Amino acid sequence: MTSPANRPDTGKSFRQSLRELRVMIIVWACAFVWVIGYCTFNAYQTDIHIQVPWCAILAIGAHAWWFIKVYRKLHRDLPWASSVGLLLLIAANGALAGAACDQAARHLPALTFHFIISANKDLRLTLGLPSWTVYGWLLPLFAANVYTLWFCLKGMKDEPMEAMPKDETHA
Amino acid sequence: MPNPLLAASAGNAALVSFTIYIAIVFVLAWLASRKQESGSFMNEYFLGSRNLGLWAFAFTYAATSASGGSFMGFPSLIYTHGWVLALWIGGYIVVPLVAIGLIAKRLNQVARKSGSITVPELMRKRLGSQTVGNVGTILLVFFQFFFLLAQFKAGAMIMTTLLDDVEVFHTAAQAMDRWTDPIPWVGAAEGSYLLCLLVFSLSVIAYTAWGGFRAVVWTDVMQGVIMGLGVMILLALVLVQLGGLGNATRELARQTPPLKGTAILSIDSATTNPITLKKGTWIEQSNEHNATHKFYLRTSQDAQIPTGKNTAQQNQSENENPLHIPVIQIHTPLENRIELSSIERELNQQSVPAMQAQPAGDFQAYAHGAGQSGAYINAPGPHASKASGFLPLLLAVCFFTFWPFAGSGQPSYMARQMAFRDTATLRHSIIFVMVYFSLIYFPLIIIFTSGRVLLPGWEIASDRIMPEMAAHLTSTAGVPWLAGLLVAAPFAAVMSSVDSFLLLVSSSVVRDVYQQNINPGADERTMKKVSYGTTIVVGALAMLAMVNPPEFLQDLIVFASAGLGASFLMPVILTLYWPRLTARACIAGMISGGATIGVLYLIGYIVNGKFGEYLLLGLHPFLWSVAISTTAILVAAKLTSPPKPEIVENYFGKQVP
Repeated sequence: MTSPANRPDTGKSFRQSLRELRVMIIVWACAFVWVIGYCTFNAYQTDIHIQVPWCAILAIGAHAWWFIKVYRKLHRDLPWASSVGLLLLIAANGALAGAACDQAARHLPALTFHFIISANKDLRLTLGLPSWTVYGWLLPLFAANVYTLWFCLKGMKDEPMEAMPKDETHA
Repeated sequence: MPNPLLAASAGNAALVSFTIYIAIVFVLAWLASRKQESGSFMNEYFLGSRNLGLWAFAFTYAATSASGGSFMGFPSLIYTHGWVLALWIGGYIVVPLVAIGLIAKRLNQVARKSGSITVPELMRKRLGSQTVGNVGTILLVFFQFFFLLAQFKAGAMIMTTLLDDVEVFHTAAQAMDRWTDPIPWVGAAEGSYLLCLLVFSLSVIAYTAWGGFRAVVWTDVMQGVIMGLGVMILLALVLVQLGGLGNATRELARQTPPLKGTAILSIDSATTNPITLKKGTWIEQSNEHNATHKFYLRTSQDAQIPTGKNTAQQNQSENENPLHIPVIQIHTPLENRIELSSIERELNQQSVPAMQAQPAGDFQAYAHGAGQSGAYINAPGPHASKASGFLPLLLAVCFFTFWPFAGSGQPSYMARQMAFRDTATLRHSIIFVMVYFSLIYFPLIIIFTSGRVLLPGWEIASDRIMPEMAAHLTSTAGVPWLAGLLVAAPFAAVMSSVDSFLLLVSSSVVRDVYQQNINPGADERTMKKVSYGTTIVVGALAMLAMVNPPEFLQDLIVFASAGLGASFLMPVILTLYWPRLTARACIAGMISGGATIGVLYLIGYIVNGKFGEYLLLGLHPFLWSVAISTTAILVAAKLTSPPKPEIVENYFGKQVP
């Protein structure tokens, strides 16, 4: 059993964990921008056609608004059903509406925005590897590893662990 | 076609390795079961008394993460689609820090504070609602059981592949065929598969039930060492045999995807003895060679030239014309010296006479990448049926999000994060997993992209590329016995995942169903019996369900993984970090996340006519499910009464408003 002096401060421990959670998300976002950003312009051998079916986005947006409206009413009239069964129907309805508009946009180009990122057709090798894997994968991996090492050795705080309560089984 | 002598040698090495491996696993289970006697049974059996040190925690996390897919499916994808797989697993560069660091410390603290052993139990106690625990248990058991089924099949399939060249195995498989043939349903499966399923299942169920969590962790450590060693040895052998990585990459850049079709294969005169053409037989198309390329065919099914005939026919023809043998056609540039010498070597090792080939109809090109140099070293990668290629940009975005965050949302990882000893162990384990993943995943891409040059033409059965590479590299290097260790790596990977999933399902059933709802007053002796019994029953059910496995099992793995991530990621994160979360909001998040995956798979089935996901706006269902789950939680929490202050204070301290 942990002595009272060593008992963890729950609030302090929670806030420290929350700070570290934010760091994880920022690390992921930085890696995302580097890897996806670099590879978008350097790894693709063919033109990237980006099509945004705006009618599908409108359908999903309208559904989100409807979701909140319906949920308020359901919560008032059928509080338990609103938390369990009917939510499933609401989610299904949103996915169906988005999918239907997505399909419509595929057959009607006027319902989509369309722009192109030009392909990189050069073959370049670095260290015997395709260059994009070195600058868009290996280098960010190295950077992420260096940061991880620093964070685990210096940035992450050690905290006393909670004592375990008595097991629920009846000995 | 592989040299039969080398194949037999590798096969025997695999049998010896496998036998030693199983023996060690049982010794570890025995040692773990002795340790159980000294601690509280439930904590020890399902969480190893929450006392995992650095090596145990790091290895069990890494080994559970690297399932059979990492050593069979992933190499197959690399071989088929090339370097784009580096972008596909791009998210792995932050997996050790994000997937472990995101919730591990807080999860462990809350689990200790509440005395929880399972994830649904933790949510139930933190939110003070039995319904939360019940919904969590149902979703966990449902999705995790699919995962378990898939791994049982993968284990049996890998074992079948590994022992394919062992004579004793074939004799035993034939005996199994004879015994099971009269039995309805069971008799429909092949004897070799049934035998492997039986041996694999009984081994894994026995050591998991016997030794519990600690046995699973200790065997994970051994399995992790085998996997790491296997990859390092393979990488060294590949680099030595290629004479440098640049050679392989330049040859790969000149490769174009093969064509697929059928051909009529013949010899000059009628044969006096039947000639067997095994799947993988090479035929040189000398008349097609030109100034820049040589042309070869490779058969993708077994065939035979019967006595008195000079034309090959399929042994078991599903086509209308048995003379039309399925083949792939490979165009090899003359500059690709390593690739050409590999094909010539295999042609010379074949024990079949020279053959002529007449195409039976047009050959079918890849939908993306056909005739395109550089297709294997750039994105989006060649694909046989998708015109947009293997990895369009939006899908790359999805996978970069999927790997780190879906990993955090898997209950099997959460169970491990509830079991480490202290925060120093956590910090050092993240560093260890970082090094381990860096040494596993990038080398795997180098090894199997090089495989396209060293062993061309394995598009006919790309799932076999791992054992084939192991056999080829070790025999060429003059150390065929080493193949046993290398081919044990995928088997270890599957076993380390199966045991974890098996214990996870049984812990949920015992702790959250039996102890909570059926027999709350059960004493420790009863719980022991129920725990052993449940582990055995869950394993036996999975084994029986896989006697005749469905074809779309690989899709089920992705479905189950996405379903678990969708159901638990946001609800667990907010359970740990958001004081305002209510029980109803948590339920709404779990159900809407899981249901979104279900609905998008249902739409995928309706639109595509087969089981698979629907990419709404080009995005993977996992992203939609997380977005909808988060929205549902936020809306439901806003509309429901705040949680009791004493619960908030207990888990978040006084300072939190």
